[in-house]
This record gives sequence, C-alpha cells and structure tokens, in this order.
Amino acid sequence: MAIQPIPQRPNRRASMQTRARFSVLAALAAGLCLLFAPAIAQAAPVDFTIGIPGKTGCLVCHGDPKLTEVKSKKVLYISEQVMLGSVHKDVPCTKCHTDFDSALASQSHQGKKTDSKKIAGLSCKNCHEHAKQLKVYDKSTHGRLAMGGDDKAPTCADCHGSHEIKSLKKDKAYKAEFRMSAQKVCGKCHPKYYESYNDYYHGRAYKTGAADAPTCWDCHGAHEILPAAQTESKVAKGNLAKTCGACHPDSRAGFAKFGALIHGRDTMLGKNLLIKYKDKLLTWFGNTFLGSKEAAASVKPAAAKP
Amino acid sequence: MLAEINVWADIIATLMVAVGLGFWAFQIIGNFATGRMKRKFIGKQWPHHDAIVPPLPKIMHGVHVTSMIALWITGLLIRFPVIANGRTPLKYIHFVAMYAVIIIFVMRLQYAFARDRKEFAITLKDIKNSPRVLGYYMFLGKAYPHLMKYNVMQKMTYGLLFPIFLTVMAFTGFGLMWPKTVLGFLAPLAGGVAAAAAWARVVHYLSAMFLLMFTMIHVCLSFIEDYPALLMFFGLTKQEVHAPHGHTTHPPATEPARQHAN
Repeated sequence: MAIQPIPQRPNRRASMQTRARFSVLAALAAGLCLLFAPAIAQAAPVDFTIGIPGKTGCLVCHGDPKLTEVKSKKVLYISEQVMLGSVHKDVPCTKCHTDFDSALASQSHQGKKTDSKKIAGLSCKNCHEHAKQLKVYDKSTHGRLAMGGDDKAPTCADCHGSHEIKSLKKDKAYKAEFRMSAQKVCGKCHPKYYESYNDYYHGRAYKTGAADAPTCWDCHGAHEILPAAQTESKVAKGNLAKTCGACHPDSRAGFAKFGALIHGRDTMLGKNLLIKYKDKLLTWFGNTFLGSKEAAASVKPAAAKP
Repeated sequence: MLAEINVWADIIATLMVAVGLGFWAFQIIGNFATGRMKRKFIGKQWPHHDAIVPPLPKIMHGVHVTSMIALWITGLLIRFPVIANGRTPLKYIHFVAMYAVIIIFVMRLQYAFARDRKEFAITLKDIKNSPRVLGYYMFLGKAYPHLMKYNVMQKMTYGLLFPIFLTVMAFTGFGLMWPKTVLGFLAPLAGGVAAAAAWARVVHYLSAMFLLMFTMIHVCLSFIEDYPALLMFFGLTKQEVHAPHGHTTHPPATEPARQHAN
C-alpha cells in the first residue's frame, strides 16, 4: 500500500504576506489607471465620457452636461429640467428610443450605429393619439421622403421638438410660441423661402410678431404639406383661392394672383423699372447736374492724355 | 396686376413725400433769396387778422392734427412693420384716431354748411386771381393779391381735396374693417370681396400719402406765410387782431377768424 503524502497546511504567515503584496500591487495598478485614465479613455472603444452619480436610468449618463461623443464632439446631454417641463415627462425614454435594448444596451452603445435620432423622431406613431397625424404625414412630401429613407427628411421631432416637446392642445402659451417659430421649424431647411417671406401684411408682419399674420403652415399646410406643383397641395394654383379664402372672405382666382407678393416682393422690387434704373438714374443725375467725383475722375485722365 | 400696383404704390408714395420735402426746400430757399423771410421773421410783416379765432376751432384743429399724425404713423407702421408685436396695438390706436378724425370732419362739415361754406366757394374773381396767387408762391410775383379769407388754392385744398380724400379714406378704411358689408357691392367689379379689399387697401394707402403731401405743403406755407397765426392756432401765443383802420386791439371772441390762413 502506497503511503499517501500528508498534505501540508498552508503557512498562515506566508499567505498573509502574499495578500499584502497583492494589495500593494492592486493599489499601484489602480493608481496607475487613475493617472492614465484620460489616455485610456481616448484609446478605449467606448465613444462617450463617463456619467456622473446621483441620477437614475438613462440620465445616469445622459444627465451629465459634459457627456459628449469623443470623436464627433456631439453633445449627448439631456437636461432633466427640460424633460420635466415636457408633456412627455412621464414617458420612459425607451418609448421613443425604441432601438435601445435595455438587456444588451443599445446598438449604438455597442458601436453598431443605428439612426437613433430618426427612430425616435418618428416614434410618435407608437401612441394612438398621433395616428391620425401620421396617416396624413405619410402622404406628405416630408413623410414620403422620411419613409423612403432620406436622412434629411424632417421627422415629427424635427418640427415639434424632442425632449422639450409640449402640448399644442393644452399649452396655449406654447402654441403661440410655436406659431412664431417658423424660422426654426421651416426656415432651418428652407432658408430662402423664409427670407423671401417679406411682403407687407404677411411676412414682414409675421417676422415682427404679429399674432394675426399667417405662419408658413397656415398656407402650405403642416402634416399634409406637398409641393406647389402637386394638384393636391394647398398652394397649388387651383387651390390658392380656397387657401387664401381662409383669411380673405370671397377670395377668387384673380385675388390669388396678388399672392405673388408674399414670397416675391423683393424680386418684384428688383424688377421694377424705376428701381432697376434708380442707380443709373442717380449716377446720370450726379454726373449731369452735380458734377460728381466719378465724373470728374473720369474726365481728368482723359485730359492728361497727349 | 395688383401685386405690381402695390410695388408702384410704394414708389409713388415715396415720390409724394419727396415732393412735400422738395416744396419745403423750394419755399425756404425762395423766401431767403427774395428777402421775404427777412421781411416776415425780422420785419414782422405778417398778414393782419380782423377777428379773433374762438377756442372751439382751435381745439378741433388740434385734435384733428394729433389724430392725423397718429393715423399716418400707425398706418405706415402697419404697412411697414418694424415694431415687435406692434400690429394689434397700432391698429387700436389707428381706429381711435380714425373715429376722432371722422367726428371732427362731420362737425366741420356741419359748421361749414351752417356758417362758412361761402368762404370755400370758388368765384370768378378767384379764378382770375389764381395766376397771381400761383406766381406769388412760385416767386414770380412780388405782391400777394388781396383776397378774402382763403385763396383759390386753399379753397380747392380745404373745400374740395381734403373732404374728398377724407371721405375716400374713411370709406376704404371701413371697407378694410368690414369688407363684406362695405365693399360687397364692388365685388362683381373687382372679382370678389377679397380683391375689392385689396384694391381698397391700395387706394387707402395712396390717399393717405396724398393727404400727407398736401399737409406738408400746408404746414410749410403756414410756417412761412403766417408764423404767428400758426402759433396762435395751437394756443402758443395770444392772437393780435387789427382793426380795419390799422390799430391793434383784442376784441372779444365773436366771429370765426377772417384771416389769410394757409
């Protein structure tokens, strides 16, 4: 019978020494990590800064005002105060950010980018009360572009706002504020049209805050917006009289032609004969009657010639 | 067409203001050049008035002037908006001033029919005198022709142009307030009530600018031709009344002014 070796009991003292050594090494490693943390963060595959404590849910990270994508510098911060002032304050983030998988973290957090903005921007359809608007939006030029995958096509959130969204039905002050925000809502994509909206009673008055002046969607439509070339458009030639008739009683086709001023006043002023030739007239007048400097200058070199 | 007319309306309106300012420049330069300014403002050779102006016409004139200025300022700011959130309050001021002008206008018409309508009647003598009056203001003639209270140009302006334009402005203004009620009868002609209102707006604007031009001329001539009367009419000085034989007196207020007003 073979004699089994008697297992030696671990030396208690030696074990204590090993632990102490390990602790010192661990402390050193932690110190080094802290020391080189920024460099490590730069090199890490994680593309955002670290969140701050004292928050819950998504705001643990997104409640940090400094939260930005390292490479793109895109701010990922969401103000808790803004969220609390929104009509969606009780709606969980994932109700709109449907691409965020809470179990696996979002694809974007794993480095696989989804168009989270667009997904969230169109997620209004998930609530039954917005179904009607979505049905109309789907047929509009904006909706068709968005559904067709155009990255620049405006989603619900592009016009109505996202985290700060308020109720147009319940909040009258916000409704008035939203009405005056055409530059932000429409002008950011259609700056030329916003700039040219400059006639007397419509554009100019609107831009100075006249509550009774029409905003873009009063004439062009909102969710149902279509290009003027399409016959169903509110601003199509055949529908202009009806559209103008919303404010101008007994508006007919002849009156609708007057609408050429709405976006065309500056162009029409430029085309006006008197204004077109104003500068020429003034130069001629100056040269003829006042003996302008230009006229004198043009004479002197000629006189100096042999 | 209406769109183009609106653009032209702005050009015409600008030209009207330019004419008004040009008239001021022409009168000031002409009066200085001919020595009239010196005779009037230093030599105190002002037209004589043989009756004191009672307070009521002065008050009415003051209210009218204030309201008209308010109408022009608010009207122009409604057409060319520059004040933030200004359109609604400007419209209210415009309406208040408009009612004041209409009330004064109706009172003045009633007064004219009751008392002084004959002073606005253009007579054969006026027509004969008109070249001399015009010549005086154009600095072609030295002497001002001896006339009644108003000259032919004043009679035409106060007795014809101002009442006509004020009526047109009131009509078009009410038309813009209540297009269906006021302009409904013009709808078949204009191509709908909306088009009639758009035309009314153009007419309203041009009439206002035409009145502004004439008022600029009126103020210029009041200032240059009879500065003391201008001050007196706004209650800034006491009126000196000259008796027919030339002595200065202060008779009680009985009759409306018989003066060479401007």
